Amino acid sequence: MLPDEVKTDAFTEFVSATERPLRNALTGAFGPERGREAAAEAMAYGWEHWDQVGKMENPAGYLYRVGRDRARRMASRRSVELAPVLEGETVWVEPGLPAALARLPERQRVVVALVHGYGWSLGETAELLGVAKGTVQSHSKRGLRSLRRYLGVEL
Amino acid sequence: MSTGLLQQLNAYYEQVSDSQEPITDTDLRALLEAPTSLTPDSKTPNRRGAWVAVAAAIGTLLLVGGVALLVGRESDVAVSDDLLPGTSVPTPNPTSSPATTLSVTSGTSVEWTTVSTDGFAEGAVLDDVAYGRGVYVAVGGVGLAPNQDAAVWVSQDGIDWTRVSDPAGHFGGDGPQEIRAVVFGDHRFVAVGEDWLAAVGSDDVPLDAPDLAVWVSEDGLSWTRVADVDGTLGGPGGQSLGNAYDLAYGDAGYVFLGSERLPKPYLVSWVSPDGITWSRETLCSEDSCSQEGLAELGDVGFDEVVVQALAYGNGIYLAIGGLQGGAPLVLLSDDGLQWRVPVNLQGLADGALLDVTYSHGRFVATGWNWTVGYGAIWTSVDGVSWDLVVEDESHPVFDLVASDGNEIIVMSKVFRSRASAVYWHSGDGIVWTRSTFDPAVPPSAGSLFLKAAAVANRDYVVIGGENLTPQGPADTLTYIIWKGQRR
Repeated sequence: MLPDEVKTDAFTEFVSATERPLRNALTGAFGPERGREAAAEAMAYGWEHWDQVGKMENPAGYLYRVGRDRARRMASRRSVELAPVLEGETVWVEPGLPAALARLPERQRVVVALVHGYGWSLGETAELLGVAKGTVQSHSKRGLRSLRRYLGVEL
Repeated sequence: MSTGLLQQLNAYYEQVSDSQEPITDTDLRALLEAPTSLTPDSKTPNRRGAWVAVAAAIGTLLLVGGVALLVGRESDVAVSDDLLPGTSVPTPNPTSSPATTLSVTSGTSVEWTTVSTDGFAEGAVLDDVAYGRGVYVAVGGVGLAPNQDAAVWVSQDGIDWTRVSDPAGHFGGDGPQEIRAVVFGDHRFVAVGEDWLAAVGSDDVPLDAPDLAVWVSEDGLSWTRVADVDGTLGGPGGQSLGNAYDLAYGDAGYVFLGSERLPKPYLVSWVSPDGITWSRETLCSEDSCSQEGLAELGDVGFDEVVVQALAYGNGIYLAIGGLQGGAPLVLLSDDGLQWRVPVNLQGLADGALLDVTYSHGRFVATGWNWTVGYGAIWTSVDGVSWDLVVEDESHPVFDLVASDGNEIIVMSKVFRSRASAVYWHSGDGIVWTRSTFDPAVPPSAGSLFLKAAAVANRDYVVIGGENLTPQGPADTLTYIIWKGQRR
């Protein structure tokens, strides 16, 4: 059992480094509302089990799985509610993009979000998701291919 | 469209990110119910069981399982948020099919007693219990990894338990072993578990690479480990029971579903006519479910198909669970090897399925209703058309069901107070009675976690523990057995 102050300091540092990546990943997979809630709950879980989680080789990856499972349980059926496209932004975004993203399998969606939405490297994405880089690449390709098909675009 | 897809994706997620508030201490405090500060003392016991359960319930098996071996063990509890001290039991609000009659009792029909666990060694882990040949058989393990051995205990009355001796060393060997599930069928107990073969954590043996192991016994007292001569249960990569620590016995024999990593993951079914000779069939790979009958699942792979439990009845093996995103999953099989998804699954649209049994000509599945957050019980004759027979607003989830083919008991695996320890039972699958499970523990006791139950001669035997958490140190676990006797 860690002393209280050590536990608190270590966890605070951990949150500082991983809150955003974890939230982005879960938001990418499940949408902003469910993703954020799942990330918060994963963090809370991490705090409660910091004695074990803090010793893990990849605590962020572990908590991603905790959050993912929580988000899956929150879901009503298989639909994913992604944020609508905002109007008036500098870069035009196809309004149907969120719906197209929602049609992707969860793993493809989270990879597309992290790699192409948030600019993560294949390695960073693979580490958080606990899969090989080749798997990330495969999901990325398939996800983009499906998106292009859904949206009827070539680029 | 005037911009490329990648540019749009970047812009879209930038919008999402900009409109989303970071998670703050305040959020975490609210979740942890900490009124002042985020210190260890601020933890409330009710949260422990709830969020621990999230990790264990679905999808994190290999990672959690590996960790659990090092620091304790994994529980297969499911999430339950209704654990606040002093939680009352509101009047039930069942939604029943037309054929269902509901009666409510106040715990007067069953008398529960706590059974002495003196017969269990310190550090014992109990995973499952079954009844057959006049004896209850509880299975699990003893000791801490890497020195854990599988273990079996027997009892004629569910009260006095004795650990089965193992002079031939069938439960031991190099590395840890643990029995996860046991079933009685065809005059034989069959138990399945995992064997990590060599020292856990060594460079050569990854934490998530056990072999499956099967033990058989005619009487519950004398056990033999099945020799895996053709490598059906082991081989390269890791084989494990996956999410469903469950065995079903039916016309085709003994069936269980598990996983294999080579190193990519596969969902695999194992079948044996006698518990000794096993065959296997792959259902899903990492990226797809290849069996013809599973085409309905679409573009889903191994980790999106979460099997929670198995049962056999009416000539059908039935597996229940969930798909990614939470859709209910029902798989049917005639032989345990080839599985199919029912095309016209009905009555489970809002259901999350966690356990299943078969009794009185119908499958009985338990879980919860997504939309309202109530524990729920469904029944089905064919596994395709389901009727919601109980919906209990006082309890968020029912994840444990057991039956002897006659009496059925439905419980929640996690509860904190006596008031929240609600269970349902039925003698026919049609008339259901709600009652309170008084576990006979001191009021100051921590959360209680149930692991499994067996029903025999209209009595119930429930195994579980106090303050049992999936990753808690094994030496802090206190296993408890309760027996419920019909008055």
